Amino acid sequence: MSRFSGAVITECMSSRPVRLVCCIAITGLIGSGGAAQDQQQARFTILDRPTLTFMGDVGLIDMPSADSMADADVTATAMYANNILRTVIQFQVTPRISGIFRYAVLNDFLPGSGTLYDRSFDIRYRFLDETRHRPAFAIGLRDFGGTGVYGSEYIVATKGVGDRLRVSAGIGWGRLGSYGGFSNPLGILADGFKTRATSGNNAGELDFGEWFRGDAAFFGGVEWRATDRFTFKFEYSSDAYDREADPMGFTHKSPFNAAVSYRFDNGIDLSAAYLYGSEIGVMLNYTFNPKTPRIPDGIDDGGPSVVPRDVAAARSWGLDLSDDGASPASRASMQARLAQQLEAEGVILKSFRIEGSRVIVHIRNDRYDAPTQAIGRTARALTSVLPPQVETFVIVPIVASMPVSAITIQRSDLEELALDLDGSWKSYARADIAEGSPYRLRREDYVPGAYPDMRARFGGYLVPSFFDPDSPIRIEVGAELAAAYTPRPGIVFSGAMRQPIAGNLDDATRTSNSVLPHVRTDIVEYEKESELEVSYLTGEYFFRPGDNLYGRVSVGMLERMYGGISAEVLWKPVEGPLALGGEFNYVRQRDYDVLFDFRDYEVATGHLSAYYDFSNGFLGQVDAGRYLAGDWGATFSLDREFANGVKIGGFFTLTDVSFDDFGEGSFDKGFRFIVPLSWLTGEPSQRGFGQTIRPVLRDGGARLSVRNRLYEITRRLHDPELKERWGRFWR
Amino acid sequence: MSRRRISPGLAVLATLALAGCAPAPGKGLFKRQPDPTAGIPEPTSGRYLALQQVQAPALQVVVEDRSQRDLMLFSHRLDGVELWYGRDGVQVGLRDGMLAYTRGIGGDLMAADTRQSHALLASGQSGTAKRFHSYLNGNDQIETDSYICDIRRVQDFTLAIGEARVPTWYMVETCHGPDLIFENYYWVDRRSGVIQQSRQLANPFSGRVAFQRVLS
Repeated sequence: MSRFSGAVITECMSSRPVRLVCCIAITGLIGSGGAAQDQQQARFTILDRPTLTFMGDVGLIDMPSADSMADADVTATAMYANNILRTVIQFQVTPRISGIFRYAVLNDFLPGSGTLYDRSFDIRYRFLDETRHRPAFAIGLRDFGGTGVYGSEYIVATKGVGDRLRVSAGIGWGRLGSYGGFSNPLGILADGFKTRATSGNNAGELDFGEWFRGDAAFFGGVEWRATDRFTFKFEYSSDAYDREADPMGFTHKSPFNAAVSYRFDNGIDLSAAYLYGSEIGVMLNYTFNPKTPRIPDGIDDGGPSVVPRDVAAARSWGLDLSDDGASPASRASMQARLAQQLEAEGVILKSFRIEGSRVIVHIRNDRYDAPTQAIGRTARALTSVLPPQVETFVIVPIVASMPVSAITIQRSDLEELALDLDGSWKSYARADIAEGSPYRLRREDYVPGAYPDMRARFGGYLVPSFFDPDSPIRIEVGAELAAAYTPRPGIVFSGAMRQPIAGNLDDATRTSNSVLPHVRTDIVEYEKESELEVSYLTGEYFFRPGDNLYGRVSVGMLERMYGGISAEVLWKPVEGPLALGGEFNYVRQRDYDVLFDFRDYEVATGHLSAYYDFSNGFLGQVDAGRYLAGDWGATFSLDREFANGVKIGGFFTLTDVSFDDFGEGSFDKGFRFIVPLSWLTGEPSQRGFGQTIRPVLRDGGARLSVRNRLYEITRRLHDPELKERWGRFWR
Repeated sequence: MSRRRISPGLAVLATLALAGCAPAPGKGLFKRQPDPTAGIPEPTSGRYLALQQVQAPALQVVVEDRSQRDLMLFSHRLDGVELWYGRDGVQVGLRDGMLAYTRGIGGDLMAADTRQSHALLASGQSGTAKRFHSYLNGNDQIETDSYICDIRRVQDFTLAIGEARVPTWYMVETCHGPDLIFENYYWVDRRSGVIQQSRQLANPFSGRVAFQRVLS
């Protein structure tokens, strides 16, 4: 059994819990169509987007093609045929590379009418594009790291004939070489290619030793896009279904399959197929693109507008031009008006200082997923409050009271560029984005009530769990109370309690069979024995040890399963792709009731980390060190992050635990995604839904899940992230 | 003005308004409402309330696809653009009556360059003009689109604004862009060249917005 990590990922200690309610109310409006909608139906034409196979990848019916989805498209698929249910997620990782995670339930597959729950990963690379005279070519691996039920490899070519017909032909190995197979042509390279181990490699082991081995076979078919709605497909399949047909009681009578798909405007395709001359299959696909949320720039008021310094405008804003802000009283008045304006924007003003023609403000963004929106609104609000002689705005966004960067903006640039066609890029180019450490918070500049600071949030939570064979989807919902108290900058006492209200997580019965210390696999015990739980309860200290350096020390109940001490230091320049960090933790396993007791397992764990931002939306990370079970190794991650905050990625961990000791899956791996709530609803929010999905959760390669790791909380206020989202500066 | 209702995925559209016969100039969006503020929610924007108190000039506004209406109030002038506030803090900016800026209606028009079109409209001339729009897209990127527009003076028309009767040219601007064709309609005061009433594309997501000056 595996389990997601927590559901709600981004801490939102907003004092405005009502926002979620607003979001739900607005979501309820989805589907209330309008004239604009009618005019936009050309968006999803069948010619733009290929259809999927019953395996969940792009192609014919069971056979793949060389076509690709649009860059970044995500498709969720559910299909049913002959006692097999598959749910599949496909992600077009780059224009050429696509990846798939598939969860299949094969009833009666195992001896004694047992059900097989099979998790598999695919990858495909389109290595040649279609031209006028040449088809597109792709090479792919199905189920390259799972139990091998779908293990197969292929090379396929696809060519359009006219506007509505596409023809595919390919050669397959493994399952795709099991019908009409012939001796592997790769055998001329080496004899080893001629044979393939029949089945049963160790689950999860990367079994590249068998790739492209054994018999090969040809497959092919056609796809006819009869109308913008209907697509008909016909194929010759090289999959003999040897492994399912016998135990699952169906007959493979024919290699010919036929299918029809109907496309709706909302990203849904429905398909039906006649398979193997004996079975009927049905499939539903839903496709969306992370780059295009429903509401392009969200629903929110216009925010402050730039107020020019001329007298007429200033008068209507109640600005006293004779006031130069020099006296304490006028400074206090400006500060109060600014704080009030910013609070309406969800931005908390922490300090305010005028030095001649320059103002320095420290702000905390409590509302916007895009920091640039908070920075832009602050800059515009300043134009309506400050006397004309203040020309330079230094805006210092803080996170955990640390000044993370300092954005210097000239007021005359704001006035000049507010309505400029290219105002976004020009204003980014003219802004100075600098290291924040010279701008430490100073007590004499605090706005009244800046510290101590108390925030609390009451809301709901949802924790799903997948792949328990007894119940492939489990879920728990409940109420959560979280609070944070900051007596002075950098010191935070915070905690969260959760009370489950409904769900079946605690009905799980699978107990751990791990031979390693049960650092994660006792999850079922935690679910069963916890009721009202203390999810975390910590004291944290955040500090800036020097330029480009960030520090964190956390003590207490660090996460649901571990308590102890965690210390981290991060080197991260305000711009540049590379960051380096180190973390050391000494932790003890918490009791199953998730309250204040501990079990007797203690471990020193920690990692050295390297982070690299490839600047094309891809983030790479390597964490090397000692894991919770005392095993040594490294985790490799690659995520694609869209400017709007949606993030999809994958990771794997190799440690000195042997594949046998690790158990099912051989090593830790999975994929993860984060979707900001604002992407879903259009409402500004810092919350979001994040899931880490592991085919199997085991004890090897398990990392402590401490909150507020420094890279994640700082990087959004640095370049290139600020540059990528600068479009929101003027929003 | 109220906020954007949610409708399915957008990004590219083929056609917003097919070029063709212009609607009759008298088909007013403002005629049916004797009381321009009837049925509009109470103001929530502090700035709007302040402008109400100083009796700022007003502009009737309708987001056509949603039939959402507001009486927006003039806030200030920035770089030649009049900024108008809606009661929930949404803003539009008009440069010489041409829409140059929206904030908060969804798929916002971040900026626009409409000087060529305005030159023809203000003088009542038919002709061809280029215009440029910058939008904020769903991936927080700015997209700048160029359009080539045919402007036609269709007929003279006496526009009723409240009790006043304003002699206008009814003019139609048909614009072609990379993935969008749209039409804007203008009622241009023959005496002054001022655009008294118009229906203009705000952005591909929110569609067209209609404006009518409230004469004081």
